[in-house]
Amino acid sequence: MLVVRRRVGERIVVGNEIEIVITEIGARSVRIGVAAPRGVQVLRGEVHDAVARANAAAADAFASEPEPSSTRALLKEIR
Amino acid sequence: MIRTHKTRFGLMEIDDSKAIHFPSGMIGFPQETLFVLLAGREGRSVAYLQSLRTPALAFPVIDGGTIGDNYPQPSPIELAASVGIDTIEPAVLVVVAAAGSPPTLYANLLAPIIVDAGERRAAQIVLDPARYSASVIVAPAVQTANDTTEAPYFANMDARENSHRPVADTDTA
Repeated sequence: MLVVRRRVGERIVVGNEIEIVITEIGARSVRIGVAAPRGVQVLRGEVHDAVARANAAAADAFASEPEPSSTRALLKEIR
Repeated sequence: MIRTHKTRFGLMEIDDSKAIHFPSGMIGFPQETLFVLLAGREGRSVAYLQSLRTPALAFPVIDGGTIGDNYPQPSPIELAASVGIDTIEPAVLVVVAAAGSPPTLYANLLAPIIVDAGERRAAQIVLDPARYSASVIVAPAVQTANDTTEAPYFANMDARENSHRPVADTDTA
């Protein structure tokens, strides 16, 4: 992993199309801006991991497929 | 071209023209870029996104339209555009998982799948985490005794027309 020291306003460029800019440095956190091309999602790490875990759980768990009729009934309720 | 593929449900004949390309893969599965949407028996709510790269991998999904008229926000057209998919009529799929005992159905409303059925392109897009969760209970599930052993009747499902066209006669019922 590349570790570099940056100041506010300085950038990191990933490939040719992704730019990361340090916009603010606080005592316990930094604020950064990310510019990426359309089609590249920029996600907080914990959000990415939560979705990845949900996907993995879904792929692993469908041996216990639900009864469709109950599914439809509850889907109606949450509309 | 119709070819025989290994799937989570055994050997199936799948029309290659029905494959859906995920340029960025599914989240957490970046290498999985080619899927086909398989529908279960007639009347079932849950369909399956079957990987054409990894036979054992299939994601159960439901039609995002069943979640509600206001789901998702932003609109599917805006979401599609945000990832470079330009279509006026995107389909929305939501990944679901059955878990617990008795089984309960959880939907990942945080990250729906937007499908351009015409171009056969799709992306899983993350919405606002402050508004949506990756694990929302949508139904208590009733486990059927033979779901894991039964060779189900499947058909390629066209996400746009939601048609059921049988391609493999694997029905043992």
